[in-house]
Amino acid sequence: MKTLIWGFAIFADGLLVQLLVWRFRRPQRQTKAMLLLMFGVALTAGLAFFLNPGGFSVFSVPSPQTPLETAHALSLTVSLILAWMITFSAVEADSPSLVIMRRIKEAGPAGLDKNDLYQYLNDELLLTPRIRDLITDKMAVETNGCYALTAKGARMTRLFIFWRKLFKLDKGG
Amino acid sequence: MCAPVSSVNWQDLLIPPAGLAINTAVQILCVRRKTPLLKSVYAGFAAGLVFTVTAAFRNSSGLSAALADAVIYAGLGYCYFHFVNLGETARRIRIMREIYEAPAPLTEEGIAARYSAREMLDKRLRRLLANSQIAEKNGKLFINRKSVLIMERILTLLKIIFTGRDSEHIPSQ
Repeated sequence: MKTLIWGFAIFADGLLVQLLVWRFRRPQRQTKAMLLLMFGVALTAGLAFFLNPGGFSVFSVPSPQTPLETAHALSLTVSLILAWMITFSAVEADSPSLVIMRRIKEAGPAGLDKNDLYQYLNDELLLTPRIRDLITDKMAVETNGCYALTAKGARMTRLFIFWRKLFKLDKGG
Repeated sequence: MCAPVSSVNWQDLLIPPAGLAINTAVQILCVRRKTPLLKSVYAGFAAGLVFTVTAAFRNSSGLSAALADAVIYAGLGYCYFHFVNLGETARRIRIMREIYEAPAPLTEEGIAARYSAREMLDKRLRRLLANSQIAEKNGKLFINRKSVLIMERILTLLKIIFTGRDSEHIPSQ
């Protein structure tokens, strides 16, 4: 049971540290900062287990005592961190589908006119912020109003093109 | 003094990644056999879960280690689901693809000509209507299923907790 408890506890600690940091000052590159914090917390916990081979207890829960137990608990933490990283991208940016649902809900029983939606969700709201994100995350660069991908952005794009071709799917979006 | 006996073994570390490999293989196989994308993701996840749970319970480490393996697999499977989903719905990936495939760097207007807010909205409305999450009557849109609204509420709550706002565009009142 200690793998489960420690795996979740280390993740929860990371989440708490992230919340405290975000309340104080939200980083510009949020995902990168979040990963650094979370993996920092996991690494610290791993070191604590390694430096106490005899083990210790927190609230009567014994710590992992062998390298295998430590690796198993940290595997669980890493899996939760990666799942949170993916979820956090939806916290950072508004999902258009969820914005649509919210607008329909706000319109009440009379329903939402489709044209209102097209007027509200324009390029300025849906496109421009995502282009800005690409610059912030160093996936693209802007020169004289023209956008080109960085090497990192091109690598990521090739990965998704390969994956979509493997599935015989269109461009998506 | 005797060395502590580990409550987990090497198999516990290998079972979840192996489950993920099975998940991926089954999902790719399903898509190539013309199964709809969402169903293929569910089929892949289920196949990986069956493998993980069976292998973990056959392993000698006990119930708690098996439960931890299942949670680790679930986290990895969730990440894979979103990786596939990113290629299908993420605006940033599609924008990067348009820039990548253009013969020369694109202006924002050039990007909008290839991938506009209207196209984003059309695709999302089609998906929401096809999944019966919304309904359309005489040009008016209505909520049909509450599941996406629940997701919207959870994400809004997380947005308020971590960013202090309920939307990236609209500040909290």
